[in-house]
Amino acid sequence: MTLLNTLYWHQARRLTCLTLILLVSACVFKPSSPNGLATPADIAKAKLIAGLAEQAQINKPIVPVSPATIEVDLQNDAVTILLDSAKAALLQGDLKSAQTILQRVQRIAPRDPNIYYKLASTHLDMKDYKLAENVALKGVSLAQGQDFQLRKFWLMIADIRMQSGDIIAAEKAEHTASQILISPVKTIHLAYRIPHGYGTLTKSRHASLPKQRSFDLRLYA
Amino acid sequence: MKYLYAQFQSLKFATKLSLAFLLLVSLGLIYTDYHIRQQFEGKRWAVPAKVYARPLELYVGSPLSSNDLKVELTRLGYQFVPKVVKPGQANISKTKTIIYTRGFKFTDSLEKAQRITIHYSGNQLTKITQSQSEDLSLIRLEPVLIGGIYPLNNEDRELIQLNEAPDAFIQALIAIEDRGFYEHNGISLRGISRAMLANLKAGRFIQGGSTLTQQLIKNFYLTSERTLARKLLEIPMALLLESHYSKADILEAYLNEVYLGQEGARAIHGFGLAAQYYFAQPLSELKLPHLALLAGLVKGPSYYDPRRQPKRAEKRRNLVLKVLYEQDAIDIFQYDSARLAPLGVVQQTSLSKGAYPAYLDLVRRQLRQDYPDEELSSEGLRIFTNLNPIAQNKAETALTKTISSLEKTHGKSIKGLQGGMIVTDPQTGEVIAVIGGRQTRYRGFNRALDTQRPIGSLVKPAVYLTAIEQGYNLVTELDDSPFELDMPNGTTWQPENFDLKSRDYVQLHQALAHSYNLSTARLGMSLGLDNVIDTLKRLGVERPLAPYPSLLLGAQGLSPLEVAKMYQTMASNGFQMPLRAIRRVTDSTGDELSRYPFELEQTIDNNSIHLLQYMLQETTRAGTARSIYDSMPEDINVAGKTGTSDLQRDSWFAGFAGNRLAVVWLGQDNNMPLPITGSSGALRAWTSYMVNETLEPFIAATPEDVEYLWIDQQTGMLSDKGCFGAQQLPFLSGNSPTERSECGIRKKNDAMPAVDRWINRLFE
Repeated sequence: MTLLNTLYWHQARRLTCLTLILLVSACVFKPSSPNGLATPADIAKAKLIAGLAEQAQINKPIVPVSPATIEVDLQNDAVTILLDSAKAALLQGDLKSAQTILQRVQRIAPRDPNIYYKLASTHLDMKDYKLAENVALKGVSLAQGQDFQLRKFWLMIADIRMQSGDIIAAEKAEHTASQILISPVKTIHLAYRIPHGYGTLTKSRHASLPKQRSFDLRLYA
Repeated sequence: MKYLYAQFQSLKFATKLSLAFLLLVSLGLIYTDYHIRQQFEGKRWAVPAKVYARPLELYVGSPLSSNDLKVELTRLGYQFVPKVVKPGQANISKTKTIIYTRGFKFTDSLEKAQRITIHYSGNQLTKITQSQSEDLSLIRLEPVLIGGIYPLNNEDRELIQLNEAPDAFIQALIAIEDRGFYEHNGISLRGISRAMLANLKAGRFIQGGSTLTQQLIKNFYLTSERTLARKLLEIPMALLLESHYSKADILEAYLNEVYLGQEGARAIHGFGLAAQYYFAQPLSELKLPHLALLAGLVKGPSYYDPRRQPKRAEKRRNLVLKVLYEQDAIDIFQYDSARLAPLGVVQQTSLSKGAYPAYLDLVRRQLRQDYPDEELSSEGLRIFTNLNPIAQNKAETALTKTISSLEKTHGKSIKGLQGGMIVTDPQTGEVIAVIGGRQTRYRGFNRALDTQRPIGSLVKPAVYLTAIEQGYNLVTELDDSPFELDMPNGTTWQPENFDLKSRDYVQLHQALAHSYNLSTARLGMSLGLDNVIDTLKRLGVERPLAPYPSLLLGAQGLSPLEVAKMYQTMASNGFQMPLRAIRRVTDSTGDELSRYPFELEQTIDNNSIHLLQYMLQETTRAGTARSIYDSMPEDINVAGKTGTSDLQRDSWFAGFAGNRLAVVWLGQDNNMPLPITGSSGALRAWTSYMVNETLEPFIAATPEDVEYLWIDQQTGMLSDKGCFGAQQLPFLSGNSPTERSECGIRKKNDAMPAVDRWINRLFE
């Protein structure tokens, strides 16, 4: 009974709103063209009013809610090529070249955790433990909500701390890693995909994305 | 007999004398010879360090409009032509651009010169194709040369090799300056006699009859006085030089040595630099009339200065062309079209070198920590920086236009308004643009680095971050009523809100978004000044800060650069980073000497900073900076804070999107009060810059220990999605409000857990 009530109440409210909006639009916007047909401008105006009315009904967020995770799209050739050449440099033990290349990728795809993983490993190889750990922590902050990545980073941090001789801190990191249960399905569903590169979320492109999808992801959680 | 003896004696004396003379001459020659060889073979010139902008990366998906690309190519001195056939040419249209790149040897790899076609739609690059092979994924354009670091004598030059000089140019130079260059041994008797004749006719010394070799000797080894002694020394030296070195060696040295112009204190030497200075192009890409003009300039760079004396310069150029035609080096068609061509000299203000004095200033300061001046100005080092000419261009336009429009609106009271600006990449800490004042090419006081002006409310995020770290949450109620504080020096501190009103209670997030002073001051005092100072330090403020209560409202003076560093930490989820202008330094051959890698240190907890980021977004969405969204698209999240100092002497805004962080300061150099606030001044410049950038929204994933809860805006109590006036706010786990609003209670009771999920699924 409660359930039905809730349902009816919701639907009734939505219906009333829609009807009201339509009525209002019809009243306010008398077609401006002489032949009585609505011009495109009329339609745009009506849509605007309808949109505003609808926004007032649902609590439009003042600040968009942060997504649970931001997953980077791995479809960019430039990034793949550079990561491959960084890998090759690493295999040859040429850490400096690897770092140069990785920083180049970082400028193209600054939110890709993989870059920070590789970068941290170069610093670890150079025995710069403090920087290695901080780069890995940056990776953690970018990989929020991506269990597989997070576990990889925490295991690396454990390794860095172990090598630097801080065994207690290393165990802590390892514990954090062990707490992360990997469930890849969840990540994909929650992911707010940001394609590589700065430009992919430009005004025009971004505007065409459905708004709901970009900011109300928490509702799916 | 006696006579004979005397004669013998005098002969002996003469022989002795001539022997001694010969010995002296030989010694002199040997010394001169040694001197010549040493200088010719050693390091010939003090070559200033070259400073480069970042190279533009082109890849599928990169943010790039045809306009942006045009700015970059113009800065690089590309010619826009209908048909692209050689390096340095481009053809831009709406949907694609054809570029013949010049290629560049980077430290990590060589980018070869190639003809590519770039396709884009809107502000995004969609494809790179090349005629011979399949699509390219990634290429780098050569970097723009933005300046040099000069030696004390202010000689600037860009060394070139002989093969970089077009044949037509060598022909022109030899035709006009030294026709017999390839035949003579360093001096030309015909040339000297012609000159003597001319001197006799004129009755004074007007012509030197110098060969190129002699001119080189004169500039390279001797002073510039026109004396006979110098002339006498010049001849044996020229002969010696020719005996040791080939014509090609001598010509190459000449091309690099010769003086060709003056820009302020900077002396333009060599044709490599002259080509850039007059035509903004490499020598190898110049056309016949340009080359003829350069060859003609040797005779008198200031008399024939094509910028100041275009008529004289044109006459001189046409003379060179005429000589070439008479020697059959060019045909009548070439002669005619070159003769009628415009001079083609670019305006000094469009040159890339010298266009970014404020950025170069920052580069120089960062370099001086590692390199002595002497090394910077003489070793031909190459310095690769993070300057982004496209972003710098947009920032300059935004700042200068805002200043002029403010002057128009407010009239006299704001005349002479100045400003400074810094733009960085919040993800990497790289400084991509610096503006030192409204005259952006002026090499003077650098306001982005050297003004230390009270930052006003820009300091507040540090207070609220401290509060979050001490267990406050976003809806904690703060007291916003007036108060007085007796200071140790006997005065009374009596802060006021900007609107001169006070409120009994405000929620913490609203106090920051609306920048209330009373609640902030009260909050800061209860948190403890030392704790706020500690937060400021962790945010990246390095200078010592005195624990005065006025610190809480931003009495402390900082430079825009220092503010940028502080906000950088907020933008990058609590990681403090050095703001880097330089990527790497290499020697003249491209081998790396030092690098300035990506460095960072987490100084603020990820969860706490997330809450602060929320409040800074509320500031731009609904607080003091909400005017941003009058022109910013709704879906571009930005965060930031306005700042206005006491009596409105300074107008500040600091804020960031996902890929750009910018700090703007506006004020008078004489510290006069302004009719503008942070919102009505600096924020306008900031917004006008940002909306013209290709922006990525600021988005941070929700950290592990943060949860978003529905809150009733009025009361700050827990509410529900369906309740009127409910908003989702972030809370640290275990630190959320416990009281529930009336509607919130009803909703909670209404919904059975399983049913709730089912309903949700229905509606989403």
